[in-house]
Amino acid sequence: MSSAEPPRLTTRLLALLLPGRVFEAVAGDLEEEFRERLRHTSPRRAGAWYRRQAIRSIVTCWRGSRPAVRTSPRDRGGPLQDLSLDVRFALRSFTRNPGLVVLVTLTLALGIGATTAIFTVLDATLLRPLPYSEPERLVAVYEENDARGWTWNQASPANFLSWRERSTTLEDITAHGFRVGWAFAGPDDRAEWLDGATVFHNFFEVMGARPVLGRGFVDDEVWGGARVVVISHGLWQRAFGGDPEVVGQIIALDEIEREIVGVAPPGFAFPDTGIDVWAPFRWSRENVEAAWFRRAHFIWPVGRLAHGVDESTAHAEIQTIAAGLQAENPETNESMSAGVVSLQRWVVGDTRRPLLILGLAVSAVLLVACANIANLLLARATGRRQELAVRSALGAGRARLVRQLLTESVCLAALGGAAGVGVAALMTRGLVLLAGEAIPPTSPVTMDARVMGFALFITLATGLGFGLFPSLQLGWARLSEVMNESSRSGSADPRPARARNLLVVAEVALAVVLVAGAGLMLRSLDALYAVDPGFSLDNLVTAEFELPGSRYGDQVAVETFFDELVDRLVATPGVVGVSATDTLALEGTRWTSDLFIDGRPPADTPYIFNRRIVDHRYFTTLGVPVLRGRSFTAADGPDTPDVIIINETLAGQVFPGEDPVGERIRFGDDDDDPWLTVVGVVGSERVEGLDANPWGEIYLTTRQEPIWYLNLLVRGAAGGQAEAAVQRELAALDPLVPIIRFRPFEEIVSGSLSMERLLTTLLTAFAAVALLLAAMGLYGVLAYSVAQRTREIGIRVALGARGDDVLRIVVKRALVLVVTGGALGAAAYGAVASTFRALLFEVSPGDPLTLGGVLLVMLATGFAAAYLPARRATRVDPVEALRSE
Amino acid sequence: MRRLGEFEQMLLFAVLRLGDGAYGTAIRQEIASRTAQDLSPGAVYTALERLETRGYVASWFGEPTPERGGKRKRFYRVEAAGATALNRAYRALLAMGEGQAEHLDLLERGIE
Repeated sequence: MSSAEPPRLTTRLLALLLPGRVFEAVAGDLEEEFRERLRHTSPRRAGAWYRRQAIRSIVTCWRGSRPAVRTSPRDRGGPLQDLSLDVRFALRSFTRNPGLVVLVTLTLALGIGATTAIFTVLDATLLRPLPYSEPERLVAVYEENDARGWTWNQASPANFLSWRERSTTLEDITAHGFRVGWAFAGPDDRAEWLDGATVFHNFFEVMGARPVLGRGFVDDEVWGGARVVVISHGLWQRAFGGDPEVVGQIIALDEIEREIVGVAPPGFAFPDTGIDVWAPFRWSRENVEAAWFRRAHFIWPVGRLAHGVDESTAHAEIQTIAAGLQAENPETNESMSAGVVSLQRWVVGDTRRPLLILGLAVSAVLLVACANIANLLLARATGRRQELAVRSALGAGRARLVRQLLTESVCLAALGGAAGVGVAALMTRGLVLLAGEAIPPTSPVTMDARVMGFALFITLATGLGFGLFPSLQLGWARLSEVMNESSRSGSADPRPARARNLLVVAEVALAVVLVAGAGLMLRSLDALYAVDPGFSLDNLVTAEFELPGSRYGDQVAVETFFDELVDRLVATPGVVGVSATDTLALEGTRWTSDLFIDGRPPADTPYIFNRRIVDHRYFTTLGVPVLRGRSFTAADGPDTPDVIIINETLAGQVFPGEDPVGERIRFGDDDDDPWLTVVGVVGSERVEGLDANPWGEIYLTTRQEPIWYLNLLVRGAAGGQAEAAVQRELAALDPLVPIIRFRPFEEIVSGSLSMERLLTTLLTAFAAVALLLAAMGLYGVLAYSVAQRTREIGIRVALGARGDDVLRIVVKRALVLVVTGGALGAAAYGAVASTFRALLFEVSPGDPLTLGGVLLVMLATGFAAAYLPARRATRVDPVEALRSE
Repeated sequence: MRRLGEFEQMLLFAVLRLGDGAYGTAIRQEIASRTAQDLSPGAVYTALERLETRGYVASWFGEPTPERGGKRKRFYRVEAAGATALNRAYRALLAMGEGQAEHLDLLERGIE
């Protein structure tokens, strides 16, 4: 080994680890004494002395200068001290490389932040148990009918009562109806709209929500007993100031007096958030035996599993019971089956798949971020191979060095994680705003201890994950080789470079999957927005309100009120048209019924259609074309024949190839069921959402079928004006009628697409981030390889290679990486593509336009990443390159 | 003002003793020969750095020499504040230890 010179690598290490001023003095002293020692000992021993003293100097320096008298490096203290040493060393090395640290922290903050934000939503919807007592025992019981294509359908009351009587696996079953609302005159006499639900009498017992005051309902109250309600804890506080004497008080809902019998526990809300009042169903005992009671499916049963019974056992039992009911009631229950599903699954429903896709997508982004950071650290580690080799030569065990490297990466991850939590808080808030109605209203979406625990976990996991690669490299570094490398250019070991290529290929592959998914969703959303809803959305606003039946008891009263309101509104400047309906387009629900046509035999199967009641101005105001016959007129009334208008879709189903105008239809086959004459056929509106094909529709007129719950449609005035006008005129006519909601129609359309929009926006953002990261990784690898091959390129140029040839070297390398990653990504995409199918509208997962676009985007990314390194390569000066070594 | 520790007192005395020749190696050898303690250069310089920031010593660089691989020596001298501090610490110790040396020796050997 070396003779008269002090160990050079040790000196380098000293230079690396000691502050500059101290280094010069220490190294000078050591070298002087080293030469002194050479006079009377062997160079080997002098060298050993030099190393020992150097290490001790470094250690005392790090310790903050407590004298390390008689301390050897091996008994420096426990692992905790090592850890603090490692951390301090890591932080010190960060200050030397602030650019890298900022880059890594930002990348991680994005990755960890986005993952944590999505987890917050997933946790609140899919993972956290529902906020009811023993929620794991709650199940939804539904009806099914394969013949009619019903899944997870509402149940008929008679079937519900039969299940309740016969089931042993369910401790009890209750039920609720549609969400309803009541006008409530609060203490200050201003009308307020309360959301409520009608329920079976055992509702609070089954849900495990014991009222904090008073009681729930009793059997008799469902069957025509006294009119009673249970109010929410929130309403009790808000409207009654938490009055302990509230039970027994009478409140008027829709101007009908009801007695408050109980107050629900705080926070309890079912079937929906914001429910303020529960009232019992009002059924009649005579109905129970009536056929319609088994045929009409309008309640949602919820059961509580008996102790020790699981979902599948209960499911099997309910199926058996349903089969029995089928046999007993062939007329009403033909092919009616039933089933049981956990209430959690039920509540989450359709949103489960998109939410899981978001979870997967954000995990992919986090993986890309990790790969990218691993790549950066690997590049840095390659530069640090000598340092590490030297430290190992000085007695640091391999385990010790690996620990040091892992400590560094976990420190980096901690920085990123801390920033990530901030990012997550912002993102979660944005996500909730963006999601709108897309997130099922189970638990509040908040970042709690669970979420913080998750953030901590992924921070540690990512730190260990991306720290692994540089540490592995230690295993590859053979000491003597590395030491000898010092005089040669570049690294002889191809493995680190190979690892970096591998990481970049993985990044590209993940990016391909994300870009393809985002592309598909964009195309699908685009197709959705292009759908013609069948009516015009321009400047259309809706106001909902309900007329109290007590004061508007008959049709004449409703008509008079409504005509007056319309007259006043039409007189408002800028209002082009006003109309009313009971159900808004895009928010419709289906009816299933037999249709009997005059003079024809009854059809085998019932038709499924929407039955909506509209006023005679509806088609004109909405811009729905009348294709045949006529529209409703003001002349249609209680004394003229009952008329209906059907849409094109139903006309095609019921009267294929015929003119329906003049045909007569009725819903029941009894003699007292009235005949309805078809007077017109109109274009089809999309009533169930833009992504659903139009259903058949039967329109009735308000002149013959009065409605109390109104959706007022006002076209023409800008939103604010219309709202003010409606409020002013309504208050002038009847101050006790509250407006329930006021919405521009555009909002209803976007609300019906909220999940699609959420998914598309997030997937696009994730894809963009992944693409950016992959491009950065690619750039890093290419730039490094150009730097490594400067000499080779110089030789090529000296031998006559032109700029193009040099360019080709770099671009070829970029292409190889992108194409390999792309191929892997395509394979991975093929494996997950089917998951997307259910979410897509008029786009198939194999959509050539999308996939072609992905190919272009990836190639463009490859070229963009290759641009700078390639330019640098073409500027290599052969003389410089060859002279440098 | 913080009290000087034992190590710092030794360093200051070494610098005093060495006069113009007080630099790292000389200081370490002075301490080693008188107290049989082998200190690392790092320990010496970090402690001296700290004393310097407190104004107890001053330092300057000499000329680079070949036996030091072209690196300069760093010389130290004791400043007035350092002298005051050292004086106070040393006298306090002396006052406390006066007449106790023999007693200590006996105690250490377990006699008495």
